[in-house]
Amino acid sequence: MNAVPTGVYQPGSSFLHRLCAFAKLLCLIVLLCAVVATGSLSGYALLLLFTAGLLLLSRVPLRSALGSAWRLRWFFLIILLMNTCFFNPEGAWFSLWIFTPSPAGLMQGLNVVLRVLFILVFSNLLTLTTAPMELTRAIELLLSPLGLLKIPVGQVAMILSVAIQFVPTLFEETDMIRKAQTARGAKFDSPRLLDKAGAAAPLVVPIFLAAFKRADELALAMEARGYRTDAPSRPGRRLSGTWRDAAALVCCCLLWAVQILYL
Amino acid sequence: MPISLESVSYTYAPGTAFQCRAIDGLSLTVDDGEFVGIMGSTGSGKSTLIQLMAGLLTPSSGRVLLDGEDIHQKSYDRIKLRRRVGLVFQYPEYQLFERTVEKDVGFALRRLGYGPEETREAVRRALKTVGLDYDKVRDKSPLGFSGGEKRRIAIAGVLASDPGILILDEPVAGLDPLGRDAFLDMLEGLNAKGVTILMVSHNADALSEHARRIVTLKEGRVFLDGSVKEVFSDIFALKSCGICCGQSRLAAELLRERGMDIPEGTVKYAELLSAVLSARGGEGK
Repeated sequence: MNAVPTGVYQPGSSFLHRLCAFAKLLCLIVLLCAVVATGSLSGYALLLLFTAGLLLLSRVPLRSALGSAWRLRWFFLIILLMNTCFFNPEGAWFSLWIFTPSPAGLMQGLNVVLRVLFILVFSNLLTLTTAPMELTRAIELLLSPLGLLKIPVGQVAMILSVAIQFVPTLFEETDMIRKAQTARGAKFDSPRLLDKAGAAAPLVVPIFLAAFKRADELALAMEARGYRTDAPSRPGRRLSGTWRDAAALVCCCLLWAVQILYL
Repeated sequence: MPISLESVSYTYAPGTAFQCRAIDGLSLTVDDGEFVGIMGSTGSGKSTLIQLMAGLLTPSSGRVLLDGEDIHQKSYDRIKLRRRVGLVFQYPEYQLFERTVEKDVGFALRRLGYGPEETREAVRRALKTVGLDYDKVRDKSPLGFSGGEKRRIAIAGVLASDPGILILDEPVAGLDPLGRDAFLDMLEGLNAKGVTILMVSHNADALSEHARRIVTLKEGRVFLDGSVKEVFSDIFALKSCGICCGQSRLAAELLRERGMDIPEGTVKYAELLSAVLSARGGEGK
């Protein structure tokens, strides 16, 4: 692994790392509600403070927490500009050809961009501080009521956890094949678009072949160890929340309430 | 064209929780025409070392020189590097992707700017080197062959550009005994033609038969470096970095412990055989 991609779990022992995954997932959902309920500048200021606090608590490097947001900067800028210029022809500052920038449009643009930004950072923080396997277990727990509707929650969770488990493997394999083809003269780092397009086949074909082969082998290995899709689901795990988990959840709920009631 | 590393270090993912120093101030020079075996336990830095040598990783500090030129300089010609240094990864059969064997073996050549006529000749020669018949296999899909044949096709793809230095990462893993011997003989043949060979392997038998120099790594540094006889002489030093010597060397040791007169520095099968025969001849049998 050369570069660790942003958003991938970074082991640690901060307050956020030690929260139980299920509580963190619930917190994320509450926070999403709080973000959606926010509509004023003072509300966003409060969210910003809250996010800064979370970043301090998580002790993950800023670059990995905010990297994906930074990579989307042009997208955000364009969304903001388009909203400002096209949202509301009445009450515009001025009108130039089809562009009618207005304060209402600016606010609308800020709403969209800031909400997406906060949601991105919050979910990033979740995946950065939670081991993937714990996260899938939390998702399974969250979805378990759907089992009553005969939805195969266990299988969905198994699919998710297998997929997540193999991300690092596939990542390493891609890296290896990329290097092997580079050694044969393939150019992946060339700025020329034509070179980039030509470089896809030597990379994509071997990766797909390897992934299919691996999937086959894994399926056989799982069946050999007695995995059946129609087997009764495993007994539910006990929830083991601590005061930390409860406190975190209460904080998030408070934030939501403040956003709805006061701001 | 000697290749040398000057106090090279390499750290993976610096500044994150995954930070790991794989190579630590390592210096090593490999001269033209050598056949070097690189050994070391898992995580000792072998794979990182060869990727640094092939210019796939850029050292965190130190220099990698090919013919006295720093290959990581901005001005260094990457295509020249790719032509001179061929790298065969572990399980090279996974890198096959083209529709026909001819195209796959010629992939590097097209990338390196060879003409069609030149490419065809080079592909024919490379396939012959690995023991395949160009006219029989050229139009077949490389993915339809057996594992051993696929590996040979993939290696032909590296040999096609006629590299002066060939670096291999565990190339005999997963080959059957016959395939392994044929492969090692092929490497010997290339080496006899002047190709420098660096082979990373856990297979002490293969290395003691074919390599002339062994370098062992431990925690990202060179631990032992010398001729096969020198390095395999101290079994205990080898054990301390997680390496076992070859079967013949081990048999020689055991026979000597039981009082048979086997000379020091017996590492190859042929040497062991003649030593045993002459020792028994001395007893009058």
